[in-house]
Parts: sequence; C-alpha cells; structure tokens
Amino acid sequence: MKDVGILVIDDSEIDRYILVRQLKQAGISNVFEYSDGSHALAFLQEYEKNKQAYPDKFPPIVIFLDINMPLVGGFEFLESFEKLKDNYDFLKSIIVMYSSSDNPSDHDKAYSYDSVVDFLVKGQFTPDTVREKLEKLLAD
Amino acid sequence: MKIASKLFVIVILTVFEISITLWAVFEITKGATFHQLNSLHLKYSAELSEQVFDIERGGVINIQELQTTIRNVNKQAEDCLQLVNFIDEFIMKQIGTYHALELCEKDINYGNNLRTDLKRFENGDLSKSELIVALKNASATFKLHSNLFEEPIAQTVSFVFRTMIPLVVFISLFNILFITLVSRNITGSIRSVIRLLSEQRTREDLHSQINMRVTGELKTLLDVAKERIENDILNSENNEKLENLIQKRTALLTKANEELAQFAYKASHDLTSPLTSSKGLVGFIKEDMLNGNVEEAQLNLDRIYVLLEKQEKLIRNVLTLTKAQSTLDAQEIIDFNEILADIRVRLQASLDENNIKLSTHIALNSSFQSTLARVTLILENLISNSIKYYDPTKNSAIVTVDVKQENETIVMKVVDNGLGIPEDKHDDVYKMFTRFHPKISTGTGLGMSIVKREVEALQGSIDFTSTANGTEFVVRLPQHRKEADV
Repeated sequence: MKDVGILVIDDSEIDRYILVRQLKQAGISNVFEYSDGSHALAFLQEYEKNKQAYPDKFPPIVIFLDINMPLVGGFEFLESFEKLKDNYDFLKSIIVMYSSSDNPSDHDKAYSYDSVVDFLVKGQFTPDTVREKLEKLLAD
Repeated sequence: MKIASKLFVIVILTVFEISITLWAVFEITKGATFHQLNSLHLKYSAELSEQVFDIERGGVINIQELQTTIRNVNKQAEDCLQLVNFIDEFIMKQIGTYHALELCEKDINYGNNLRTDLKRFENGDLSKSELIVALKNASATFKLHSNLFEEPIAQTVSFVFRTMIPLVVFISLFNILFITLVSRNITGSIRSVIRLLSEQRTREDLHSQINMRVTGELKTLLDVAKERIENDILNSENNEKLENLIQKRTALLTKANEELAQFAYKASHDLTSPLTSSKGLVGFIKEDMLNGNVEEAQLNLDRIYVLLEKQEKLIRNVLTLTKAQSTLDAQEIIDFNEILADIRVRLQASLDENNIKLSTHIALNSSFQSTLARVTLILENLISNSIKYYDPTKNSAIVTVDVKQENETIVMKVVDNGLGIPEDKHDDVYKMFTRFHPKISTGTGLGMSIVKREVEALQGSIDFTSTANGTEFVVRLPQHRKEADV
C-alpha cells in the first residue's frame, strides 16, 4: 500500500499504540499522533511549516479520531475541523472515528459531519479490517 | 332581635287585628238580629192585643190560640238572652244599656204569669173580666217594652262601632309601620354586611367587625359561609400543594433517571475500554512471541498491567460512589491529624516520585463528630488530585491542607500550585468520568463526583477557585448535622 500521511488523535497512549502498530502492519509508517483535539488542530493550522517539514506526509490523508477525550473531544474537534476546511481548501483529509463507543447516537452524530467516512469501534476489528478499509478509502 | 322574632310579632299583630275586626262585625250583626227579634216581638204583641180586643167585644176565648201567641211573644225575649254572651253583658253594664236585657227577662216573666192566669181561668179560679184585665195589661207592657228595647240596643251597636273602628285602624297603622320598620331593618342589616364584606380590610379586622356589628341569623350565615369557604380554600390549597409535590418529585425522578442512564453509559464505556485495549495488546504479544520479539512483548505486558490497574481503581471508585449513598452513617470524633497522617502514608510514593511537599495545619477549638470514611474520602481525593495535577514547570510543587473552625462550621482547605482547571471546564468539575488534562490519564474521572457526593451527604458545601497558578478547594461542613429531610 502507498505510504501516506495519517493522523491519530486519541488520549489513550495504549490505544494509539495499538492502532499505529496495526497501521504499520498494513504498510503505513507515516503516522502523526496527538493526545487531544486542540493540539491536533494547532498542528493542522501550521500548514506551511509542516508542509515543508513533512513534504510527503502533510497534510494527512486520513485522520483517526477518538470521541471521549479531555479538553477538546472528538465532536468538538469535528466542529472546529469543518470550519478549518472552509478556510484551508487544500485540506482534503477524511476522518475515521476511532472509539470504544458503539452507541448509535454517537455514530449518527459522527456521520452528520461531512468529513466522517467510517467508524471503527475499538477492539471490534482486526489488522486486516484496517488494511481493507484503508485500501478502499485510498482507492476512492 | 332575631329576624324570626320580628316576623312573629308581625303575625301576632295581624291575627289580633283580624280577630278584632271579625268580632266587631259579628257584634254589629248581632245588633241587627236584636232589631229583627224586637219587630217580631212587636208583631206578636199586636196579635195578642187584637185577640184581647175580640174577647172584649164578646168573642169566644180561645185558650189554645192565646197560649200560642204568648209563647211566640216569649220566644223573642228568650232568643235575645241566648244571643248575649258575657263580653256583651260586660260592655252593656259599662255603657249603661244593660236594662234592655232586664226588659227581656221581665217580658218572659209576664208571659209566664199570663200563661198561669190562662190555666187558672180554665180551672175556673179566675173570672173572665179578671183574665181580660190581665191580658190587656200584659199586651200593653209588651208593647211598651218593645219601644224601650230599641234604644239601648242601638246605643250598644253604635258604641261597638265607635270604639272598634278606630282601634282596628290604629292597629292596622301600627302593623304597617312595624312591617315597614322590620323590613327596613332586615334589608339594612343585609346591606351593611354586604358593605362590610366589600370594603378592603385585613382578615382580623373583618372578623372583629363582623363579631361586633352582625348578630342573629346573618351572623350564623356568615359563620357557616366562612367555615365552608375556608374549607374549600384549604382543600384547593392542599390539592395545589400535592400537585406541586408530585411535579417536583417527578422532576427529581426524571433527573435521577437521566443521571443513571448517563452513569451507566459512561461507566460501561470506561470499564470496557481497558478490556478492549488489553485484548488488542494480547494479540500483539502473541505475534511478538512468535517473532521472538520479547522486549516488545514485555512492554505490552506492562501496558496491560497499567490498564488492569486502572480498571481495578475505576471499579473501586464506582463502588465507593454507590456505597456512599446507601451506608448508614456512624458518627465518631474526627481526628484530622490521624486522617491526614494515614493519607500521607498512602500517597507517599507519588509525593516522593514528583518531589511534592504536603503541609498540613489543623486548628480546631472543639471536637468535631462526623463520619470518618466520608471525611477521609473528601480529603484524600482532593489531595490526590492536587498531586496528580502538579505543575512540573514550577520550581517546587506544594500542597497545603488547612483545617480550622469558623463558629459552627468546619472549614477544610486544600490548596496547590498545580496546573489549575481550565476555565471553560469549571462547570464540569463534579461531573462523572470527566478529566481535564490529556497527559494525565491515570485518573478515573470519578474523584470529584465522589467528593461532591460526600460533602452533600455531610450537609456541607464545596467551592473552588482555580487559575494557571493553582487551585484552592474549600469544603465547609456544619459542626452539627440537621435531621435529614424526608
């Protein structure tokens, strides 16, 4: 698989580790990790600087986003991200939710944002699932 | 005077008036009857004198016929006496007309004597000429009496006429006057009650005015109406109160239900996430073992250990939260020195690890009785938060615990110079499963919920101020708890 830039936002260090390792198994090594939404937003906003620093990886194509996080949570991040997309039209990132919540209302709320394309429930998928999903998303 | 008594007086007066009128009419009618009887008397007297005249002229003496005529003459006198009652006698004696009745009696006597004479004549004890003299005398006396009878009767009738009519008129006028007064009196009372009730008055003033100015049936009416209305108001007030109570209770129940649902959702989320993570890690360990990557496997085992430890703590905290609601309180004298020393022992490792200084000051004037477990939970959670959220960029991290007494209140302050609570999260401090600092993921997000619940269980209050320079929590507990509200 093409090694593209990926952003993982999750407050749990262990959950980040699990996802990053699964992504590696799928052949993706360029992963940015953030433990909360506010730092991730700041990272995306510093476009020029990061574009220079990571020419192949920035901006990330796929963002994996946890919901339940301190300070700026997943939904708050989505709210700001939609506005950010209006201002930075080069931001083409798509978002995959990455949460342990299988609550239908959380799913519905997530899918109400244009950028959200998928919802992964923690512990309910295998490395193969991640690979298949990514291949499909990148092909589109 | 009661309205009923007033009306009774009117009835009595009216009955009296009607009785007098009827009696007067009856008396006048009686006078007319007397006149009729008298003219009959005169007629029969004339018949008698004609028969006597015949006998004088040499006619046959018809004893039978004479007897009948004399009986007829006597009949009117007897009827007269029968018509007279004791009131008539009394009046006639008073106005000097009683001699009319004496005339009747005399006529009866004459008549009787005459009939005796007729018998004697038949037996031959009396001569014809003697009988004729007796008959002539009697007939003349009868006529005379008839003439004399007329005047006293007319006088009596006119007396009744003259006295009774003014009396009846007087009583009627009095009656009308009395009825007018009574009706005015009744409507006046009703009007004054209406006026009294329409005026703006305080409740007490109205009551005293009613007691002072209203009497009789109206007073009873007002009392009964008052009682009835007060009962109705009381009932409707009670209904309203009950309805409010039901609404309040329903709102509380709804809120509790929502909280419970929220709690179940968050608790299950936070309880399952360490397990799902561990599951993933176990898969990695298997891979690592197969690939001979022991170091990575060991790291992952450490990660699982941290996750399990966190979950254990979470379950303990959830249990504490639910237990705090149901445990009956045992009261004992609180020794803050002991509590804080115990807490220090339990937190010593994290204090040392981050080089944090914990200083305590206790100043109480009198002993404080409370529930040891609750006070300990409050202080330990606050102190442990201060340690957890210390600010490593500051020169020295300090946590200060200050316990003192202000009148009847025990004031516990826990002050730190840590990271502080972000300002936009101040409202969420006591919400369950809430954490504010992404780098510190050791918390369960339940500590402050537990503190809040314990403070409320002890009928106290909790406040805080927090800036980037640190946080100060102030817990105030009443020295003596009130009886719990039901």
